[in-house]
Amino acid sequence: MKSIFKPVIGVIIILLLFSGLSRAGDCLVYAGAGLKRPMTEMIGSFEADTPHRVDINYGGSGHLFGMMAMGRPCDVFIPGAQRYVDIAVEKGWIDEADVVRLVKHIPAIVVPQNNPSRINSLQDLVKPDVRLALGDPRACAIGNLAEKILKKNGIHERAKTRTRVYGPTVNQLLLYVMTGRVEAAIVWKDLARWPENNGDLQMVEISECRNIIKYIPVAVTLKGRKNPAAESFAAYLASTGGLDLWRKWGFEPCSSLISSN
Amino acid sequence: MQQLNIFKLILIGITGLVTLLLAITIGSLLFVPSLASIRQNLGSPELLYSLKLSLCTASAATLFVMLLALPVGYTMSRFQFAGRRLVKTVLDLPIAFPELVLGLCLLLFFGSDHVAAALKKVGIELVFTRQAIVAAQIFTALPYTIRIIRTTFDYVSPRYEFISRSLGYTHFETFMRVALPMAKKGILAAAVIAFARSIGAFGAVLILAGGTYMKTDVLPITLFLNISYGNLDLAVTAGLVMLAVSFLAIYIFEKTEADL
Amino acid sequence: MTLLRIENLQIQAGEFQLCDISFSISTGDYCIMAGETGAGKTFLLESIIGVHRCLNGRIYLDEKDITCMLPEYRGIGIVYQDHALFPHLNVFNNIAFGLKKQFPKKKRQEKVHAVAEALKIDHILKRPIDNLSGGEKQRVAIARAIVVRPRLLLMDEPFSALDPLTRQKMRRLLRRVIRQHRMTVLHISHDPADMWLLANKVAYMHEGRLLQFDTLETMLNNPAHEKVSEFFGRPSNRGKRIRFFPPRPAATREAY
Ligand SMILES: Nc1ncnc2c1ncn2[C@@H]1O[C@H](COP(=O)(O)OP(=O)(O)OP(=O)(O)O)[C@@H](O)[C@H]1O
Ligand SMILES: [Mg+2]
Repeated sequence: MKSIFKPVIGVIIILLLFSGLSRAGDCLVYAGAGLKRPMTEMIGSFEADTPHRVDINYGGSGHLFGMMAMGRPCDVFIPGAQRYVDIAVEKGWIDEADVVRLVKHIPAIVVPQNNPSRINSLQDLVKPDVRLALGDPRACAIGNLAEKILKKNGIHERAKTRTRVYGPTVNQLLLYVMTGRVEAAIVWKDLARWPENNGDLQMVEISECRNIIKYIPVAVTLKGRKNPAAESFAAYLASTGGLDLWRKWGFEPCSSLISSN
Repeated sequence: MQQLNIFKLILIGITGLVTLLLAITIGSLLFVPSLASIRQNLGSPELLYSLKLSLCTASAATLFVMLLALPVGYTMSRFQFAGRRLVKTVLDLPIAFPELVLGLCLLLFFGSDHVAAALKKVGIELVFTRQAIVAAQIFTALPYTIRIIRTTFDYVSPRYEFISRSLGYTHFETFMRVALPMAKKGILAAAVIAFARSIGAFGAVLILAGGTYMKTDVLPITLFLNISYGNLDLAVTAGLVMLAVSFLAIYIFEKTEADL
Repeated sequence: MTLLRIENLQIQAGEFQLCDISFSISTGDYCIMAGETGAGKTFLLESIIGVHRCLNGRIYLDEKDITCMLPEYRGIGIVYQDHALFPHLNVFNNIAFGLKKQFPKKKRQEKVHAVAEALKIDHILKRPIDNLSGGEKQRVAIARAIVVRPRLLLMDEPFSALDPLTRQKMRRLLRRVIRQHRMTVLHISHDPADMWLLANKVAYMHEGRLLQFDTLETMLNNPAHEKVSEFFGRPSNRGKRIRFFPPRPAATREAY
């Protein structure tokens, strides 16, 4: 009989080890793929300051939304755009009062290093021989927004003919610009900051009157309401320390928050 | 009474558990949407488009893969040459490679200005196009196919070819009249796997072809896009179609393997 | 007249090496070669048909240097121990395989039927090869090799899988066919009966070397090497008996 126990104990030990490795966090966060860098750091300092552990899933906003729809609710929802929070409110996963506009999310044009096609403004996107990469308007927030910006400036149809690819993810767009497959793409300004600092590409700002500026909302879901870790994490994101981190990664805090802090 | 073979019991238990787990996981795809919505989605232009595109590109990719894998697999099975080890490693490398990395490599290579310009001269454009889908599928499926073809030829004794050559057939004639017919079933199995891999190729296709809606969206990309759109039913339907293709592929593969 | 002449042949195959092989076979000779397993007999036959690259030495066929000639131009036939019949072809097409390139259909049929008759396999020509008996497979393999009239026929232990009685029958059949076609043969076998009844020359190989190549009498009486005498040893008047090599079988002598 003894011989049976040894392997059984072994299996139990292995199971314990595994459960230790993947100790589930107290709080599940879904965040837009574009927020990976600030969020990683945010979670690092949040976990250092509090006893809570945070599990986070990054993905295109729509993708995250799909996961919620598939019945995998999270505690805190930070998609790239207000739109998804609105839908979540509609579907009854989030209470409208729990939605906070946190930081500004600003679209910008990115071009390869040295800007070979001399693109200096939104209008330059439709110069002949410019190849464009845009986000899929239905799959990612920036794609949707880029479409609106182009429409607002009356160059949507022309831009369409210049567009070589509608990428489902925004990171793809950066890749295509960095490798010179396209002459320009419209992405989030914060997203372009890192490769810009690395010298992999250049950023061209869109003048404020032509641009459409969005806000990154944070929402504690109805499920998360019962979870103190979720409330505490959401609060941390809007705290002075949290806002400093946002700033570091190229997000401007919303003025309402600065005054209230 | 027969004594208990605990080891055997444990092994059978684990096998049963793993099978059950797989079956449940795959089966969960079946239970998400209603039959009506599946039927409706199957007829949607979006799915029809990507199904058609998938079948076309995967067929083309399979053709190219076989044309490349046959000579390479035969070479690796039959010949000794300097640097054979290195060649083998390079050929097997992409198997252990995440598809996204492969896609990045393809983008960097085919996208580089010189290569792109050279290819354009012969009418090939391998970034953001349907040809790019085929290229990505070829590179995804090729290493697997080469392996299968190599093992297939390993099982055909070279003696048959020696005899054929002693009877006056050149090496090429021998390949066509002896090696190919004798490896027929393995080659068919390899083609099936190549086709299935091509249908299922995602990462490399996404990066190289861009995954533009209704332009370069093959089945896996349709699935991915529709998850992003929040259109779960269509995503699942795309998944089911791919599941059917894989089932068919594995079925044919098993069948040809069985009487190999 | 010398048909095959090999001079200082040296060929490498992984760890194994054929070393310094030299011998010659005259037209009409029937040579039987023996040797321990792993001695390189099969490998030597394959080298003669030309599928292994020579490091050193020369092979002449009809005084023409064929060392670097591709196998398909040599006109040397081979029969393997395991028959190696093409599984995707039936008996007829296996035998006709080598004729396809040179002869029209009618001529092919004639030739196949003739050789099949001689080897007593004309009744199975339409059968697939997978349910043939060992003896039948062996005869099909021999038919496939001789139907193209090779200048030299190499056979690798063709009878090793047969029972003694069938072996005897096959031996007789083979003798007749070989005589009829006036073929020169290099045959690998360990069977003393084969050596007594078929061969006019005998060779012995060991570890990639050809130790002796001579008539059977010489091998028996004057072994050139310890290994040769181990194999061909027989009771000697000095009472130093090493291994019993049976005398010429009397019963089958009439078969000549
Ligand atoms: N293509 C090859 N590559 C590497 N090694 C080989 C090759 N062919 C034969 N050998 C090796 O050469 C040696 C001789 O093989 P061979 O088949 O000629 O022996 P043999 O004398 O015919 O033995 P047997 O009587 O058992 O048939 C063996 O050790 C074998 O492993
Ligand atoms: Mg042998």
